[in-house]
Amino acid sequence: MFGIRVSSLSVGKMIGVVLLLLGVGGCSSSGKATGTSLRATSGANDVARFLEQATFGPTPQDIQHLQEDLGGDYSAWLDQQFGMPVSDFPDVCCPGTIAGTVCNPVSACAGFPVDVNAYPQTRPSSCAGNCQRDNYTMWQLQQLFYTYALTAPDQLRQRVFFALNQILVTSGADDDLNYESRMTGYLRFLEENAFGNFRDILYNLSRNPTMGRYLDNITNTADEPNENYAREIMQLFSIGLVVLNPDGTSDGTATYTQDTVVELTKALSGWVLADPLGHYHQGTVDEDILNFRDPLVPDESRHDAGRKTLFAGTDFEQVIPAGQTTEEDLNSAIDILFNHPNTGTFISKALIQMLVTSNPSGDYVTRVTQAFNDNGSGIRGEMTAVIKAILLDSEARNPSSSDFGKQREPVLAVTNLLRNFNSYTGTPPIATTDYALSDFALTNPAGTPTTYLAQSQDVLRSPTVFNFFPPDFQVPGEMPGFVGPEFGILSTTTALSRMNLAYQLIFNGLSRQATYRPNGTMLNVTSLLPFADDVDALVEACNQVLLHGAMADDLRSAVTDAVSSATSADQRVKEAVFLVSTSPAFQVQR
Amino acid sequence: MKHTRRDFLVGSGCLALSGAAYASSLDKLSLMNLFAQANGNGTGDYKALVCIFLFGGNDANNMIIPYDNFADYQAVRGSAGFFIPQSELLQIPAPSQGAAFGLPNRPPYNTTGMQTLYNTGKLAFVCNVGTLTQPLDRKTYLSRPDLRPDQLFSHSNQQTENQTGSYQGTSQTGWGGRLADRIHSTERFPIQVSVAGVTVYTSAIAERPLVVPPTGPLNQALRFDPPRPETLAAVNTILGLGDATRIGRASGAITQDALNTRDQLGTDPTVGAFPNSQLGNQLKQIAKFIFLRNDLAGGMRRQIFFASRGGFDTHANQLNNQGALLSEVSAALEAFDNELTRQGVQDQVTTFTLSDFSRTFKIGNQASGTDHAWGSHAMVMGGAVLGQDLYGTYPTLQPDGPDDVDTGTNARGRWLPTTGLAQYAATLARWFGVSDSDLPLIFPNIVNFTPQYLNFMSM
Repeated sequence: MFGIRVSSLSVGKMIGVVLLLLGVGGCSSSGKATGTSLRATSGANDVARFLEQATFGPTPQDIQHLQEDLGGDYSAWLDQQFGMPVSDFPDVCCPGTIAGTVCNPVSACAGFPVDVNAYPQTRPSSCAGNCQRDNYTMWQLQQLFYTYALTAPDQLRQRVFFALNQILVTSGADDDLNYESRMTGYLRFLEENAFGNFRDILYNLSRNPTMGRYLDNITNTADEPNENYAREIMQLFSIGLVVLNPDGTSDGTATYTQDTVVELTKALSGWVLADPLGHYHQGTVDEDILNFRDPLVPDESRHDAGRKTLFAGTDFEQVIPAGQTTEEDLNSAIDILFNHPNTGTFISKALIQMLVTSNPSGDYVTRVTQAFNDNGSGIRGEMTAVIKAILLDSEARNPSSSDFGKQREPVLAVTNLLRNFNSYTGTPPIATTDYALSDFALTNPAGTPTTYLAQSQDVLRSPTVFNFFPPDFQVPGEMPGFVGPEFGILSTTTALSRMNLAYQLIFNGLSRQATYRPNGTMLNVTSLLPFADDVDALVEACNQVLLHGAMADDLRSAVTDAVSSATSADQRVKEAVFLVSTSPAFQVQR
Repeated sequence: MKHTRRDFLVGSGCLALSGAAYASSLDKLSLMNLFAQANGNGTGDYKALVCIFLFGGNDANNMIIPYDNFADYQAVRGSAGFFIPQSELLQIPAPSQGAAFGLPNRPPYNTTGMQTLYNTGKLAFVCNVGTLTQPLDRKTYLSRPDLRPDQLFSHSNQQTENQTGSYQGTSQTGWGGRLADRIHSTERFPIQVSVAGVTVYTSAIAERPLVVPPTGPLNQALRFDPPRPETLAAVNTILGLGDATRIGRASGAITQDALNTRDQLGTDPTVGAFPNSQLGNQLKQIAKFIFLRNDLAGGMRRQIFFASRGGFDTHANQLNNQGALLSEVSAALEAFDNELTRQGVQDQVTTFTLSDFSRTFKIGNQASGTDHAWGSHAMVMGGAVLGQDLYGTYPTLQPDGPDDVDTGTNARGRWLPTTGLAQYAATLARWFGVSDSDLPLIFPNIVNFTPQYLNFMSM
């Protein structure tokens, strides 16, 4: 279905870009970053490294833009990104044109390449093949995710969107939500709020119908309380399990008990889906089309309007008075959670782990917490302040500890590889992809096991609300306390899958398959062919493109030796890319 | 010595779970010591533990049902959609409890396999096991919230606590991993094998687990096709270079493990018939590794396996869901026992279950399902198990009764465990070869319990 061809620079201009990168040389920066306006002090390598943290991978154009147009001013780049239009997921529309559908007044699909139609839960027999793929699986949304990750200009928003998606989790793996029309509203909410205020994020998340279904808050009533959302909004989305110091440490005191879960459950009761978008009646299917598009609405008859005491008996005790409406109670609850002193640290640390490093120092966490608590103008919870604090901090810009870094989760490993070689203007196109890169779409080569390519990160479909991996997952072989969340899905099986995927992408391309990979994905490394006969130059080009110039000497030697024995130029280029991109130097964002 | 919450925090330096103390404790029990204490049945020095984690919280109240005292069950569950009539129970005697019980066999429940295993002495149940830092009676539970495990009734926390054997604060290692670390040797094939992905249970400091797919030929499990042999050599060279970052070194080590192990998995052994279910396939995969035990790395003396089955979180539709799941478990266990007997190692392999928690005994307005509770009944299977009995203390099936942590008219019947997870697991660890004096290094809480282990294993 997707035939997007990415246009490119001419080959000549591409050489120029790569030579520009080569010409700068050197990798480590001089001087410490201070203040909020940081200039890259040693050129393209630092810029590339910054973009690895702030985007889905630096393209040559990104590097050039930040380096030349913005003079290496990271803060200016961030401001520019904050101001860009949102590459948003399309809205859900009611397909009145589909036989059997009667729509309530809802706007028709307009102006998007993808229509997100609101279909009934039971799949009509007439919706088979591509209709089924598009509406009754997550495929189309996963395509869009990768489209934006790989091509959208508002890269920072997309990267933060992805981070929030892994913290404030809902998932298409839930049987009730494995529909394009049901997950879209949540994805739009994340895209549109990524640079907003965290209080609004918590509030809108609680009114989001996808989340209402995912954690059962739409079945949480005064008579039949359901604790699921109340528990997770505390444990995962705001204050966490233990009382935190601003630096992220804790003496282990629990933030809440079961009593608080019970009380908060009451405060969150009373929300239901808005009126159905329409009704479908064709053949044996006769049902309302439920509304996963509009915010949840209150039903006072389902609301527990009694008095609630949260954190009773602690320093944080808060009372929500009796007699409030559903909406008033929600606002009270959100205010309490948002203003809890834990929330700044908890969310700041989670975002640092997603964007920059798994084991930030206490001081780093404290600085970002301070930005959450006060953006400099007295406002709490401003995402732009938090993002700036995270990406401009000296620890992100000039780390000196061997503790620094994060294992790239499968999505980032793939997007970095593709974006490092992609370009977007000119002809002929350099790379083609139909963005079918989620586990769901990967088809293994004939004769290979089912786990040959699977990465255990089927994007937008995490197995539980605890994401694909927990934030406190222990790094294997390390002393307790040193965490690497992404190791939660890095096993002997998936480690080899990464290598197999890299091999397929570079050497064979991910093959076409009519329904799920109409075009396939090919990493085009022809930009490196000019270096194929000079192995040293070839390896250095890989260093610049893939490792922001940070290649260690022993890695350089190993790659050079191996590549030198390959007999064709094409083989040399592809093996160089393969060996560098599968090395820990590339697999770990540092 | 009573242990407070602080004692178990990582990094507080107090007990074995903190880094420095733990690392030095690894030296204390060497390979030879462990083997010297192995108390197998004279059939060789090999032992294996197989952990089956039932994710979601298995409703044990519908798995071990009183037969003689059926009225207790019927009084409260009689109107439930998943009620099992007495006529549809498979009777099992329980000498230690002084009464007969029953396994559910109302369709779709089919536990005939379990009954056969039980009545041939290979299966036992351990009653009312749960995460506890120390024994609690109802009065103490209600008045001392600080003594309770963290986040009771939370899936993620209870899953973690069952797998780490640590109930307050955090532990970064699983108790399977700690067992493996005690017998760690760099020359051997990975001691721990998970067929259910990366888990906390197998998380260790020295002994990294091998993770393989749940099904498929073993010699394809770690399939990797490099462009050329020279490329494979280069990959190995590059991985051997280490990395400037700790994360990088750990990342590379996992890939190295995979490539090193891959060379040792050259065959796909033929094993007996297993049902083609999720758990059936996983146990079949494990059976292959057991079959290869003498061929891997010069001969394995100890193996630890992790399998799992999800779907037990039956808030609704429990009859169909739990029925199908327990049937799957029953048939898979029976097939596994048959295979172990065929291999002649049935006395040397002990299989046991863990689950997040049990479920509410009294139904709510939602008559077709149950909610999160606590103390659960575990299964233990193997030739070394003293089967055909129920161990521990079966709870009093009375909402708001002496074993319920709920109170008042809304009490749902969430049983306060009478056997700690540590006691249950320590029994298995002892059989596996851990000496009594070393049990606290694996289960720090065990010092709070008397006895420290139960008697369901022949030693």
